[in-house]
Amino acid sequence: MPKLPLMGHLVLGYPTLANSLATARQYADAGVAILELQIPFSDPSADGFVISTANHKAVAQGTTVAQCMEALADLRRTYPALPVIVMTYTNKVYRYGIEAFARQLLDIGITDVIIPDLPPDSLQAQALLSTGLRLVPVLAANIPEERLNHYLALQPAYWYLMADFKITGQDFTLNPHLIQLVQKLKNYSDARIGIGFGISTAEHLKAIGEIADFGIIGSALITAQEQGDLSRKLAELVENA
Amino acid sequence: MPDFKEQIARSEGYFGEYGGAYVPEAIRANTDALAVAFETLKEDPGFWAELQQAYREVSGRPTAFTPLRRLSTQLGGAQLYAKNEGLNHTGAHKINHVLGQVLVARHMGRRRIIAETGAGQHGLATATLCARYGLECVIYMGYKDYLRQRPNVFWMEMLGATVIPVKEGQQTLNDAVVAAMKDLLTHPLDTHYLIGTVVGPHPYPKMNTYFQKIIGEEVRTQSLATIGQLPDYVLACVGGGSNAMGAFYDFLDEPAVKLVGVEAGGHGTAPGEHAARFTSLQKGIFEGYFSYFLQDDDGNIAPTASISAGLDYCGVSPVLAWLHDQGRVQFAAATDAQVLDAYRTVLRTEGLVPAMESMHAFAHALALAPTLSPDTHVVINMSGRGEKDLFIAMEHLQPAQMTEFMQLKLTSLTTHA
Repeated sequence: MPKLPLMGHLVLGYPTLANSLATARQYADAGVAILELQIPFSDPSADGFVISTANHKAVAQGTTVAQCMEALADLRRTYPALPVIVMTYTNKVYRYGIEAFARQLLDIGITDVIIPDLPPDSLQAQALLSTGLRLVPVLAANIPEERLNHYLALQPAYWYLMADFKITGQDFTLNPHLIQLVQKLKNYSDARIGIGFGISTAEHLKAIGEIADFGIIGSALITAQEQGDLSRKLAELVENA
Repeated sequence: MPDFKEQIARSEGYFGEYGGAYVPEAIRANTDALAVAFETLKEDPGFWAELQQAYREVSGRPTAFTPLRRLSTQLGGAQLYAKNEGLNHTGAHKINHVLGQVLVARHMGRRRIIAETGAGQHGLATATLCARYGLECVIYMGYKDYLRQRPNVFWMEMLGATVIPVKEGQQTLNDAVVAAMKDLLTHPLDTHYLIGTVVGPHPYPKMNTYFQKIIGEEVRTQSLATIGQLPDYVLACVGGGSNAMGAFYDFLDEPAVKLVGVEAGGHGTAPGEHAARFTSLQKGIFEGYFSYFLQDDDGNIAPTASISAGLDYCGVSPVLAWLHDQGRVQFAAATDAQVLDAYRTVLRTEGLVPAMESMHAFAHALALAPTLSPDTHVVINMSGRGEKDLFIAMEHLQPAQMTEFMQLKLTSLTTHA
C-alpha cells in the first residue's frame, strides 16, 4: 500500500513563536505534505487537552494574530510551494477584522483556512469567502444532506473529516458511517479528503488509508515534541506504509 | 407600538445581528434538530399545558409577589416589590427552563442530559429533574465554582448526577460551557445539552426565553392585583440573562415599564475585575452565538470576576444585546461591596434571603429607590434564594464565626475518623 500523505498540525506561539516556526520547518523537511498552523485562542472549544493547553500557553505569553501573520509570511518565503492551511476560531478572525485577516493571508499566499465554529451560511463566512479565501469544511458522519449541500457549494480545496465524534487528541476510532460520507464527497467533489481526530500511530493511518487522501495529526506530534521525540515520531508517521 | 415579542417569535436564531448558531458542524445537526422540535412544540397547546402543569405540580408556581413595605419606608422613595423566584423547587428560576427543556428532550427521545452550571442552581435543577424523569445526568462546573458552591455539588451528587469539576482556564462558568460543548461534540447523537441560560446557539436563547417568560406573566397579573397597575420598573440581575429575560419578556411591548438589567461590577473596573459586559460593549462570536463579550484586543476571552458565581461570565444573551441596542433594556452594575452591604439591609428589614446573584438587583434597587417618587412601583426579580451561599456569605459577613465553626468541624471529623 502506498504511503498516506500527512497533514501536520501545530499551535503557533507554542512553546514560543520562533520555536513553533522551527517545528513547522521540521515537519516540512521530514516530509509532512500539508501544514495546519493554528493561531492560538484562549478557549479552543473543539480541542482536547494537549492542543488546548498549547493554546493557553501561547496566548499567555502574548502571541497575537499579527505576530502569527508575520511568522506565516516568513515561513512562506522559505517554502513557497508547501501547502499551508491556517486554523483558528471565529472570534479571533472577527476581532482582527474579517477582511484584513483574509487579505493578509491571501497576500502571504495562503488560500485555505479551517474555522470550525464558523458556519458557511453566516454573514461572517460570506464576508470571508467574498475575498477569495476558502474554508476547509470540518465534517462528521452525522451531517444531513441539506447541510452538506452548503459545503459542496463552497467548492473547497480540502475536506477535513472527523474520524469519529471526538475532540482532538482522544483515542482513535473510525465511525462506521464515515465511509458513506466519503463516497458522497468523492461523487460530488474533486477536493482531497483528510481524516483526523485521534490519529497518533502508523496503524491508525493504515486504518484510514483506504478512504482518505491524507491523514491529519496534531496532538500526537505536539506530545512527541514535548517529550523530545519529534524526529522519531515524524519518521514513523511519514513512513507509515 | 413596539413589537419586540413578535420579532422574537419570528426569529430563526438572529436578533438583529446577534445570536446565530456558530458551532462546529458535528454539533449543528444536534442543535438544528432541537430547533425543529422546539418550534413544533411551541405551536402545540398540549405542550404548553404539559409545561404549565409541571410548573404547578413540580415547582409550586405561581411564586409569591411580595410588597417590601418596611424597606420602601426605610429608603423613603419608590414602592418596592420582590418577585420571589426563590420559592421555586430547587430554589431559583432555573427550574423553569429545565422543566421546559426536559419535556422537549423527552419528546425527542434524548435520554442523556448534560449541563453547565455556575452557582450550581441550574445544575441542581437539572439533576433534580433528571432524577424525577429517569434521565442520565452529567454536570460540568468550573473548579472554582465547584469549591465556592459546595452545598449544591453535594446535592447534585446525591440526586444521582455526575458532577465534573473543570480545571481548565479560569475554572468558572465559561470553562464549564466549553467543557459541555466538547462533551456534545463527542455525543451529538443521543445527548441533550441543557443550556442553563439564554445564550448559546439557536434555539437556546429563544427557547429559554419562552420557558422563562412565565415570570413576567405572573408579575403582570400579580402587579395588577396588588398595585392596580403595571410596575414602573422591573429590575433583574444579568449573568447570561435567563431570569432577566423571564421577568422582562412580558413587558417588552409596554414602553412605560422600564426594564433594568444589573450586571456584576465585581471589585474594580479594570479587565478581569468584573463581569459587566455592557460597560465595554465589545462584540464577539463565541460559544455558539454573536453578542457582547469581555475580551482582549486580540479576540481572546477575558477573565471575569464576581462574588457571585452565577454572574461571573464573559458573555451575555444575544436577545439582551439586541434589546440594549434598541434602547429597550438599560443596564447597570452592582459591585461586590454594594452586594455585601445589601445583605445587611435586606435580610433584617424584609426577612428575605436572596441569592448572591439576585442581591445584585436588590443592591441596585437600594440605590435607585430613594431617587424616585413614592408613587413609583419597582419590582425586583429575586431570581433565587440564598441558602446555597452559606459558605461564601459567612466568610465575608461573619469571618471569625466561620473560622471557629470550620475548626471545630475539622476537629470533630478527624477525631471520629
